[in-house]
Amino acid sequence: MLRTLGILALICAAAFGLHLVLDSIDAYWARIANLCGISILLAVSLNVINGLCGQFSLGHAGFMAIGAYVSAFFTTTLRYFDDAAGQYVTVLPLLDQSWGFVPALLLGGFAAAAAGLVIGIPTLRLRGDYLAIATLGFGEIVTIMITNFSKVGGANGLSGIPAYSNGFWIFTFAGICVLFTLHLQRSTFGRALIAIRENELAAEVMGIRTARIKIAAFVYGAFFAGIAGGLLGHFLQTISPATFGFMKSIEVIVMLVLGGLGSLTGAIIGAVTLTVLPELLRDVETSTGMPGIRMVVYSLVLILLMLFRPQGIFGQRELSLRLLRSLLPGRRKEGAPSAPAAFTAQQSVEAKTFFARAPQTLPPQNEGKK
Amino acid sequence: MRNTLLLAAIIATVTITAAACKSDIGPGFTNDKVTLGLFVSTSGDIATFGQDTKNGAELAVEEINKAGGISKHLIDLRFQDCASEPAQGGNAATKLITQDGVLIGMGEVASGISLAAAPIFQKYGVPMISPSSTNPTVTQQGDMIFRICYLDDFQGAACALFANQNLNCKTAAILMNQDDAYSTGLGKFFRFKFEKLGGKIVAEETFKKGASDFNTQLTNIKGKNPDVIFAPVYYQDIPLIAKQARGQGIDKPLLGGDGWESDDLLPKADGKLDNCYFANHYATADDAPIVANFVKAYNAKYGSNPTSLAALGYDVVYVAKKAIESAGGINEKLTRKAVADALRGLKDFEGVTGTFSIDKNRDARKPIQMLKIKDGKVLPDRRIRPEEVE
Amino acid sequence: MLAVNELLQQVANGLAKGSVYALIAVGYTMVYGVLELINFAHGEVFMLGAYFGYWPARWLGYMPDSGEKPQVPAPVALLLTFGAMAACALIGVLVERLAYRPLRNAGRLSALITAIGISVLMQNLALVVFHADSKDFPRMIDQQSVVLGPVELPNTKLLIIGVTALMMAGLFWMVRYTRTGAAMRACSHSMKTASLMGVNVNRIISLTFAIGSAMAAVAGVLISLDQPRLTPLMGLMPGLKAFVAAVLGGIGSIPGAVAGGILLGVVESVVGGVAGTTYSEAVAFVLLILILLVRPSGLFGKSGREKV
Repeated sequence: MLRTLGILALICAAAFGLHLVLDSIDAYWARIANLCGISILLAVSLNVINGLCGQFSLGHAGFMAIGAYVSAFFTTTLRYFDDAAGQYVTVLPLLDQSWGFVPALLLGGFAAAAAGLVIGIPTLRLRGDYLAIATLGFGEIVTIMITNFSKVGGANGLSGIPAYSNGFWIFTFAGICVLFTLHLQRSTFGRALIAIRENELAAEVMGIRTARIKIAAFVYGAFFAGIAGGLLGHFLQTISPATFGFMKSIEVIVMLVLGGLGSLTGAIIGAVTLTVLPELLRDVETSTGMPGIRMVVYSLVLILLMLFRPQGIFGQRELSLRLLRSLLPGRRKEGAPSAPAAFTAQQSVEAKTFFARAPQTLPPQNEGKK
Repeated sequence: MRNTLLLAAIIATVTITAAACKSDIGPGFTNDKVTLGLFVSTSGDIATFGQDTKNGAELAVEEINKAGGISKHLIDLRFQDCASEPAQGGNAATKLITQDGVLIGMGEVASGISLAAAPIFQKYGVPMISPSSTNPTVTQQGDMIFRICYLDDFQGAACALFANQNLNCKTAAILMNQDDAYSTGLGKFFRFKFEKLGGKIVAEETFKKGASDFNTQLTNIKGKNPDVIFAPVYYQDIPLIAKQARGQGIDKPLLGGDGWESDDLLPKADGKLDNCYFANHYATADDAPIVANFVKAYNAKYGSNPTSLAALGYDVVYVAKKAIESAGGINEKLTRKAVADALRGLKDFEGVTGTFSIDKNRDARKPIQMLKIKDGKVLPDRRIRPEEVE
Repeated sequence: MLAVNELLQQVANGLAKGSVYALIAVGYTMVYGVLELINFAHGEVFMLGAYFGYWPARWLGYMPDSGEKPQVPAPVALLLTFGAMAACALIGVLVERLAYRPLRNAGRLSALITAIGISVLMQNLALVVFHADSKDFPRMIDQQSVVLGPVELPNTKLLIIGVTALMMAGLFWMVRYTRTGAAMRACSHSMKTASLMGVNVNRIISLTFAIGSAMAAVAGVLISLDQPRLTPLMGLMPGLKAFVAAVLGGIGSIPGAVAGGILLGVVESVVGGVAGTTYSEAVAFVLLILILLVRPSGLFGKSGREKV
């Protein structure tokens, strides 16, 4: 517990430091950095569903939309302009302050998680491409519902959302998401996710309660997608259903595939690359007079990756300091595993040698005993 | 510990990349140049609108520079693409402000993207003029945000007034694009005014963006037998709607907003839009010299007739020019705040899209021109002034 | 409440809408039947079909930039349609060769991601090449409204329904009674066994893509007769809806795709008529999730159990 709090404090401190740095540099690049943080949240959370658990979801933007709308509803619609005071007053005094934004954000996250639960339960019966299509349908339904819900502005969207998102909040949540996911990968739960991805039937036979685990993965991914949506809404200060269309889900998937489905660091690097790249291509597009070439490049990258390097940049491995550490013998800490989260056929050799060296790093599979 | 190190490594990379690009916003002009920014979408699904606006704006810049610039300073027009996305629009706005250091930002067509850019312009105290975002909330984002088109509420109300007084309609149906804020906005304000005038909306139907089969909606409308069908949609949709309506035997007039305006409207409609009406900013056939010259110059440069968006893109540059000149021209005393003050006091600006002033809400106050389609021609009908609907 | 006449009119509207879904759905279902791949790019082939009908007509002078647009004579119109079919068939085969074949043994998700990539690529290439503004399809027949008892339909819609019925009958005959059709059915049963029996599996797969894409091209040209507006994104929604139709009818089954397409079209129209058009767009997706949950094998599909 103390350790967790310590880590949380560390993340906050790091995020605050980063926030200060971003405040002092050129606003354009600071903005891109913040957007990178939001992309990281999206990619890492989708990686839990698509990469680790192997449940192909095409509805991530739907979860984002729910988070964005719920949190913005609390910070925007529940306040009114008080003429006497000359400022905005909220129905709940808590939301007056920028820190009151956190409960709104969390509510958005929980709403998205609830949607994850709702979509997770029925889609348990579906596999592979059927699941993909069902989640795509879910995403479409969400945007159609929002479009026709005039309380939140319909097609107009919501505007005038207070600019509560900043480097501190974005990177605090991104950091929490990354660290949670890192721990999750190494936990029994994480192993169960991977077991389901590799062979669901075998996992079930091994005593893993696949249904629960799959729903949990959806809920977890949806929660952080909702947070990302809320952060984006309070960053852009305006949201509309069109922002959370099918193409947004595709964008996040391209990030994952680029970095390597199932790799946490891959997801992060994919997210950063695909947020920065279009900005670098901006001048190219203007000077060549070929606007829109960006999306062509995206899709080509996606196809070529699938054809020539389907595992992405990192495959299911992680870019970690393990490599560096292996160069420094004798500094291995006891019980600090850096297990690769994979047991695929092509990596079984690697896995075997790994286990041969450090068998004690395999966590006990409690799920198996009943 | 390793995790924190990893995090630190990522942070460091981002920081180093970012820190390399520190710059100052600057005054927005040099000894011989003044920097103006333009941000519209030239890629993505609203690229056509952005391209038209950009064409109009570039034509205006070319003309002004040929004539010696703004108080002897040539315009350096910086352009950034918004890619039809609010997030990209925000990036474009930030880049124009902090990297290009523009004096004035001009842009976006789509209200959703203007709304993402407006808080940024407001924050840095840079005036932003939207050529064609019609959503009322855009200029409410702050006192540096302006627009030169009329608003959804005025246009919707003017159409309702026209339907009631000129077409003598007691009942109306509304057919709108549910994904498009412009369309639903006009629909809402039309309903409000039409009902206030004693009329009745008997059917309200919507369709999804990109739909090309409107038969279900039209059958519903036909069953209610309205006197007029108000269809605030874009020019790509209305010919299909008209054809399908006539195909189902609906012979009531269609009425629409400035979204109908296009060179392609009549050829696409195959005569099915006869006796229909729409609102617009101007008519290309107008023989006022300013309009005729613009249409001629645009045709010479791009080989086609300008759309309303091109005309608004053209006007927005001239509005910027007039504001700079009213603020005392370009000298070391010129500030962005002075330009904004000049914009706030802009009176009787003569543009292609009509003569207009900027009101206290920083919106353009300009009349609307109702047009009638008759025998393959677009003829001017009633002109409605803002005070008539208030 | 809705009058009977209006309801009948909505059913008739839905029949025409559903016919187009059916034509596209056939392509999805045939490819899925053989390869178990959701060819996500199929909606874009439909879009290309419409453009391939448009460009030659433009080059032939039927689409002048100004003035009256002449009507395309029937033989030329037929030729244009065949041209679009051939071009789309070629594209379908090429996509299979270059993108799907190398991944045939790489798992269904890799293939699905690639298919999504192809779909996005085609859309955006079309945006760059054809531009975002809409194009008018040349006038091939004069639209007139035909009164059939209580309903009133334009002749273009009747043509759509007629041509669809004809194409479906032809396709059904081919699959049922020709050697190629038998080979196709064999492949969809078990590709390995079929190859052992001397069926050239690669050729059959190419053929499947060719036929499916040609059908989509017909749909693209047909819909342009009734709704003559071409945009690079026009394939997205009909493509998704047609996929829903294929799942509805039981993916892998050709009669199922036809029934699913018609059913979806009619349900959408009737729901739009009864409950209002606001939510009728969501109908397809709600229907999709429901059918996947209640009867994933669809109306006509054979239910298979996963082998252990």
